[in-house]
Amino acid sequence: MLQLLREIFVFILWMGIFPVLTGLLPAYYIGRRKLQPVLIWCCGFFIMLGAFEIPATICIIFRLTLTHLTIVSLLLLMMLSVLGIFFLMLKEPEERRLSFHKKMGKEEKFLWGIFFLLLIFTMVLSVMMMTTDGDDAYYLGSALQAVRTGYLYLVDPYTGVFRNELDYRHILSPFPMFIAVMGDMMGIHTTILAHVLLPLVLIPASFAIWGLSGKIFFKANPDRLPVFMILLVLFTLFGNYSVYTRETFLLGRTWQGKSIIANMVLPMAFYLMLTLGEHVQEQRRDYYDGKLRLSHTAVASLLLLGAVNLTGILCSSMGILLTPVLELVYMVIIALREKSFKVILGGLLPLIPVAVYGLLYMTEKGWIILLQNMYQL
Amino acid sequence: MVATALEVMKNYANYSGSGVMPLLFFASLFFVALTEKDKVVRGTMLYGSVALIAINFFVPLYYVYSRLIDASTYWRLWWTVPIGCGLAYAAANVIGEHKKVGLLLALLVMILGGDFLYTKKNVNGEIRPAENIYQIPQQVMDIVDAIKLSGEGTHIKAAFPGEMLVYIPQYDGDIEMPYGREMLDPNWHNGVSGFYMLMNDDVVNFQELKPKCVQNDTRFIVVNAHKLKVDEPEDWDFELLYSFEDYQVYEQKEIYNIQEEYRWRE
Repeated sequence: MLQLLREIFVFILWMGIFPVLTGLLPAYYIGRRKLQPVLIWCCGFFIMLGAFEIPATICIIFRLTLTHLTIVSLLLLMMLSVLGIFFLMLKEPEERRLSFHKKMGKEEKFLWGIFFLLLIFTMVLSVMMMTTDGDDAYYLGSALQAVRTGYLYLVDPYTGVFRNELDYRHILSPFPMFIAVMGDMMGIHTTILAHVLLPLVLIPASFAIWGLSGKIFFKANPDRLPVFMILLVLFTLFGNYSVYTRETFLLGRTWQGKSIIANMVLPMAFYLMLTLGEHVQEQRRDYYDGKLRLSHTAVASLLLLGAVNLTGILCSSMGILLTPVLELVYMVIIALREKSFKVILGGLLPLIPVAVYGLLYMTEKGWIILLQNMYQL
Repeated sequence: MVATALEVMKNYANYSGSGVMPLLFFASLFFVALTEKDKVVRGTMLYGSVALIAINFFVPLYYVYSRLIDASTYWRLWWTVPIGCGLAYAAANVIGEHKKVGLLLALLVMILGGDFLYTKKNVNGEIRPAENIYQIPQQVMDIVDAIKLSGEGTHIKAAFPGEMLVYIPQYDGDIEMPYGREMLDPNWHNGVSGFYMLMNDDVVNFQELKPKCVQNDTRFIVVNAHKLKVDEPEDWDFELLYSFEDYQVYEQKEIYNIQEEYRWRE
């Protein structure tokens, strides 16, 4: 019984409490000074994972243990959570109220009902079906070895043999270590956590992020939003037109970093670019001189974009390429539309972590060995 | 240059499968171009998507990518294009007020043009109902549990057939293996282990397996029960420990004796 309570508490802590508390601040400004529950969770989820990436890579490079990583990441997230609580306490009571969807008609309710039924069906399938993927031997093997031995990436997950060399191909994208920290704290087998519990959060979260974009798309016709969401679930269920699609990854490899980058990181970057585009347009319209200003919304969006980029790197080495490509394309489009070079300059700021990790990747061993040598001196 | 361009097209063909869904997405973009008035949505959905598609088809990028990174992962750039979102957006607008009929029609299009993941027989691995909460074949777990029981208190090293290599590291990290899943992955060393080649052979040859076990300190081997055995396991110091539906677990007695001797000394 105590073990079950521990599992539930730690799972809620990582998948509920941390994302909600850390997401309060950016969500308030991105959501036009309204606290929208889905937006808060989504923002916090990326802040949590983005924040985790930094201690994770440091602990791995300096060969610290899983216990070190757990303590440091917990402290970091607790600090960010306390910041969120303080921020909330500083607000007036009416500003603290959660903002929910407006009243809906009968048809809209019915359509949302269908969407949630389809979503539950998708989640049940992900729990009931086994989708074998060869890469799990590495990712989930690494997580399991980290819990078993306490060492991060120092055991070859394929053979279970200790090794001296770090695996430079994977250590800068240590999402399996996030699974290891959670699994270790919960006292649950990491494979059960990854295959059964995480999809119950990650699948709805992916749709929630697309839903945020949908809200902007259908501002004028909000009754079309549930239709959009239903179509998205259907497209996901029937999206296995090749083994490479993001939909195949969402259902078949939900717990892998690659799936998270395809189904959460890139959609969130897409949403933030949409928000920024909208915000820049509003500034042009609302200010008497039509000049762009550094607003709270812009700063919050850019900061969150930085966290999204870090999450991308945490999930896959492809994060160094995919998120910058997507963001730069949209930044250029916004800049051209608004005829403002400032947009591109602002858009480059969240790419700083990508540039740092990109350098580490490109120079691979050279840089890391240099850092290690500096540490030993 | 032409060869690289063909590679880019092949990459797209691999990603798009039958091609129906991406074609519908291109049609959606056309629809957005004709109907969308909102500048922000138009910029994000139409111009953004077109630019990202152009980047995917940009031959010099593929050339640089294939040389600096890895051509076999270039298809991941397609993840930046919001195919599902664009399709759903255009379809929701086409459907408009005729929601029920429209959704049924959309479902029909998805069934005909798409593919349902869970009915696929073999897509990059096995897809079937889970037998347990680990989502790992029960037989594999039973075999690992049996080996751990027999090797309790000792350093356990076991050799498994190729089809099990993906599951063992996910289920139990205590068991060492002389070779791992890298044998199945072309990105790694792909089958350079002589031990694996013997284990993966069509027949079981205990005479040849014995020196491999001794050299690699491997006490247990798991072989497919339906494979033809060219010699008697007992002749080469192998003892049958467990028989499962499709597999048999053998213990190499020479390794066992050495391990026992060390234990006794300690």
